[in-house]
Formats: sequence, structure tokens, C-alpha cells
Amino acid sequence: MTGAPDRDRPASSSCGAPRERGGPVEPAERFGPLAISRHVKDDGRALILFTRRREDDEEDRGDGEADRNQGAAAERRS
Amino acid sequence: MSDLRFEELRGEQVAYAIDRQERTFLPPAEHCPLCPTRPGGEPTEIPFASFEIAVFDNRFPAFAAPRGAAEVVVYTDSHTGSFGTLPAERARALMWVWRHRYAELGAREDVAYVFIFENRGVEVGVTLHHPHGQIYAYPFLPPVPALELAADARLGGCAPCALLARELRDGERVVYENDEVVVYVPYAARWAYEAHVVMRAHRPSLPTCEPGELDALADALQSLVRGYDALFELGRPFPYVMAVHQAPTDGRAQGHLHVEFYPPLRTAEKLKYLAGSEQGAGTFISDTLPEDSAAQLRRAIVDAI
Repeated sequence: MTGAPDRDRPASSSCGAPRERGGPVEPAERFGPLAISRHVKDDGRALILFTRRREDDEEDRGDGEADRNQGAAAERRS
Repeated sequence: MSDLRFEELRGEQVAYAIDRQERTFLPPAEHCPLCPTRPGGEPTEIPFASFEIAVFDNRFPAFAAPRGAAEVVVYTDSHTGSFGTLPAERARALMWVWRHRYAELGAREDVAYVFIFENRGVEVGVTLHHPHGQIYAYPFLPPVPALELAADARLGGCAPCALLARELRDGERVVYENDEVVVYVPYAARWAYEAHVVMRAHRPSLPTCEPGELDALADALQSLVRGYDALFELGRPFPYVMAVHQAPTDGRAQGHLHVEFYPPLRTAEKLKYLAGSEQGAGTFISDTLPEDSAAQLRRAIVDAI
């Protein structure tokens, strides 16, 4: 199975990787306008919190979106 | 723990998730597992005092690794309200959450189809009233998306694109539109107030949408849901099933991002039941014409906006 397009795959995905319990596993990720923090619940289940980034955190958002848009345009052309 | 069995007569999978019999059923608000964990309060599924949008593995999964996944998407830390009453910015953020989960779950080798949905109202079996949706990541391509791909083949191209063009030509069943999205009661609606929310441009999935299209999708979805709530003025949530259809993630075929709503009410007091013809023969019998329903729903959306 090929999965979703690579260009939009979350950059810091921990899918399939072992994770510690009791707190965020990795530094906060960014995805478009969102900040993401990953946690593991006491019973081992994953919990992800999504927070809309404050405007002063979004200075670099344009580059990320440009990359995604470029990928989307390429996909539509194909 | 779940198990899959193939039903040969219908040619479809049936999932057995017997642990789900024990899942939390309509708890009082003070015991809601989707609320934040307040200081000194009862622990919930989300061990934080506040949050914006939370996603976690379903405690009672119909699918789980290494054969798929089942997640809960909590729209807000407020126990009351609904998708329709979220602030516009939160609804738009939710589109990005869906996009993230589609991309991440769809990248897994054991996932063939990522299905985002919401069951709203006791009429469709909701067990928690806190505003939330769900995601099932199927390890196989389910029958309904498979039928949509078959429609592509039958119509010789993207079926949702062709159907959207027809609806825009007819116009009679369109209930809402913005620059990027059109909402209509389909020509052959099965449910009295069924509605399809369709991207104007051919976008197979959320990750292929421009950011502005995601915003427009959120606006269209909220407009429709608010229209539903205004339709009968029930004094309780207007029940529906919301189904987000996107391209399969197994790389075999394309799709066209659209969201289908199946409200079970045919009047304020009467439910549409799936009975003999629907269950035994697979043919819906409808008491209403889509054009009449669309006129009502269009007015309700205008009133709600």
C-alpha cells in the first residue's frame, strides 16, 4: 500500500515508533496553522492535542504552505 | 479485540468488536469522558485542564493495529454545543486535523481507507453527547467507497465531478454554495434531507486542497449543519450521520473529496427506518421528493446564516 502523498505526511510522525508514557514524546510539531503535541495515555493509547498557533508563531507558515501547494499542484497535474 | 469475517452472499466484510458492548453509554455531563480533566476532578480521556482539539485512540476500537485504527476526535473542551456552534476558526482548524489524520493514518501499511465521520443524535446511536467525531482506518476498501469508484468507471471519469455539474445545471436542488464548495440534495437522495457537500475543483482528498478550500469547506459544513438545526427547531440536536469520502490510501484509485449527510428524520416527529425493502432488497423507498426537501433546507440555511 502506498499511503497518502509524502509531501503532506506529518513531518514528525511517530507512527509505529515506540513512545514513552507520561508526556509529550517529541517537541511540538507544526502542521499548517496547528501546533501538535503527542502524548501517551496511562493505558498506552495515543493522545494528540491540536492547538491553533498564535499569529506570532506563524512567521514560517508561508514556507510550509508553499511546499504543500506546490505538491498539490503537481498532484493535480499528474 | 476485533475480528473480521467475510459475508459471502453480500461480498462484504463484517467486523466483530465485542468489547464495544461495554462502552460508555450516555453518561451524565459530570461523568463525560470527553471533557477535560479538571483539577481535583474525575480523570477523563483527556488528562489536561483545557484543550482545543484532541484526538485519541478509541478505548473500544472496531479496528486496531496491525489491522487498522479507530480514533475519537473531540472538537472542543466544552461539553455543550455541536460542530455547527463551533467558532468558525475552530471549525477551520478541524479541517486541518482531519487532513493530518488522513495523511498519517493513510501512510500506514495496514490502512487502505481513512473514513472520517460523525454520528449525531441518539437516533443514529450516539453514546456521548460531547461534540466529537470519529475516524475509522479500515484495513480494506469498504463497500461504499468501492461503489463510488465503480461509478467513476461507469460514468467514464470522476462521478462526483459529473454529478456536481448536473446539479449546478439543474440548480433546483442546490442549497448552499461558496467559491469552493457546493451543497445540494442529490437527484436520487435516499434520505429525505440527505445532502452532499462537494468541492468544486477535483480534489481527491484533504491533503490536495488549498488552505482557502479547507476554510470554505468548513464554512459550508457549518452552514449546512446550522440549517439542519433550524429546519425543524427540535430543541435538541438535529440527528445525522456525516461521512467524509476521500480517495483510498492504498494507491489503487482516485476519488473526489465530498461529505455526505444522512439525516434519519423525514419530519420533525418521524424517523425513516431501514425496513424490508431497504435492508432485504437494498432499495430505498422515499416519502419525499429531493426538490421539495432542497427548497425547505435552502430556506433553513438562509434563516440560520
